[in-house]
Amino acid sequence: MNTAPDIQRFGMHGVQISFPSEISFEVHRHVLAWQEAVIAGFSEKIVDVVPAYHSLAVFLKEHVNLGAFIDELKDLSVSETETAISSHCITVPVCYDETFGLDLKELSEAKGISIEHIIQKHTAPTYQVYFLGFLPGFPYLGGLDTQLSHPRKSTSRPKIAKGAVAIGGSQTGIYPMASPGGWNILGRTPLEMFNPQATSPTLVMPGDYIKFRRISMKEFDAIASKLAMGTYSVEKEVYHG
Amino acid sequence: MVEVLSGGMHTTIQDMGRFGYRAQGVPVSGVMDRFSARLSNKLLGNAEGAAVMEITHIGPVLRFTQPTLIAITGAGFSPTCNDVEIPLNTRVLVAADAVLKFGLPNYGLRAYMAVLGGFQTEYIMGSYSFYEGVTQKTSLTSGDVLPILAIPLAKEKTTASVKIDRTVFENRYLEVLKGAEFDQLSKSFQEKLVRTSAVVSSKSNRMAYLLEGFQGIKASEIITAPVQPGTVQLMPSGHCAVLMRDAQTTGGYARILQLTEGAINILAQKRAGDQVEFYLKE
Repeated sequence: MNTAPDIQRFGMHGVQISFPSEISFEVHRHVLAWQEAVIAGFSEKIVDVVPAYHSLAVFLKEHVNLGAFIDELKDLSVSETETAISSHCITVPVCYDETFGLDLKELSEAKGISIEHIIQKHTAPTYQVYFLGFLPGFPYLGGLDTQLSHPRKSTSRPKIAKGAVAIGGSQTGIYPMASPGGWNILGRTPLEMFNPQATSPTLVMPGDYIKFRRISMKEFDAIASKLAMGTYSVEKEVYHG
Repeated sequence: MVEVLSGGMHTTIQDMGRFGYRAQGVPVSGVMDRFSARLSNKLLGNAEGAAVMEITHIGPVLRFTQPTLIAITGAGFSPTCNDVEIPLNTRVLVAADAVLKFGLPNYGLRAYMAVLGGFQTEYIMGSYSFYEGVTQKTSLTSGDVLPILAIPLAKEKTTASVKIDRTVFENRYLEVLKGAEFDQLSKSFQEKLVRTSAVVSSKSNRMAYLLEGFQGIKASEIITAPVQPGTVQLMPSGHCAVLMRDAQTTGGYARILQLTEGAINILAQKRAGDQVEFYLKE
């Protein structure tokens, strides 16, 4: 498949490149390939490239002529199979203790699945990071077991803890900082998903993969104190999805 | 240095924004009204991106521990220096130990104060702009101390000033482009959008302005896609959310319109209860 994307002006100084309107790895592969091609080809003309599920926005520097840039993009040929996107798989330790997993019980009752099974189903897949949004470092993850899919809560919580791992609809994600939110909370990770002081402020990037690993409360505390002392190294390996 | 004696309602340090991190979910931030902020820096001969103070509705009380030049632009506050009124849109010399007050604005909502050389506060991820989770501070509170440059001041009289066309603050018309999902609206909804006199809700803030009064207009939600400052989203409630500088980077509501840069600046000066109308740029 070498779909020609729809390329449109996006606001005063941006372009939106979009593909068929669906959430799938297939479509998203095109988004990542175009992101890579745009960054590689036009780095001196762009300020930001923002990928999402089936589209990406390219924001331009002020001096760049929008019309001419759109023409250049239309001439660009991008093959998603040839693009070597280097991805990593990051292991995210999660404590599913009910002190953290505030909605495990409710989810178990609503689904008719034991808490034990919910945790097994949640830790089984290798999730793909589609993109980051909503909050700095918040990953939109694809690959949730359809049996765990559950609507957002009817009323949002005023404060969800930093590190909360949660399910909203058919998606699962991690809150990088305390925030109001309506997702169902399964557990908590001690990892820093977002650190503005770091050279690379987010733990994961679009196109990366995440694997959840179950840990006990004791391990949670141990990792948290190692992180505080700077002696914890995140489990990360090169991954070819 | 500038000491904060009282923080005011929502006083922050901002520059032209934080770029290069939107793919990581980090908002652009930066001054809400770029026109006024640019002017404050220009009056002092600062670089365009020098960090300024954004003052919202209720101004702070500040004490200068060193002499410097300042320029205040934007909303119609009545600032005083040691209880003597000082002009807006003018370069003003403040002495060491001077106490600056702002009071309340009689037009507009946000003022900008530039200091010579710009505020030298925390610079992180390429910007001085306050944003929760990125900068240590999210708004100024009493006791804060803001470093500024010690620049020898020339003896000459400092009189640079500009006349401001106040109609910018009275203008209710917001110039818009069609948004990515505009064509999905029915013809009658499209017409209603630009003929409605909408009211600014009190829930408006640096993330988004909520506009009420478009009853009956509806659009389906979309697969989460990129958004930017000025994007007008149609909410399930039928209200419009106009995303502002602190907006998140992606969103799942239909993007029906897009404000031009000038329209964002105009909206940034509106208060709860003010009326606005969209008009399509041809």
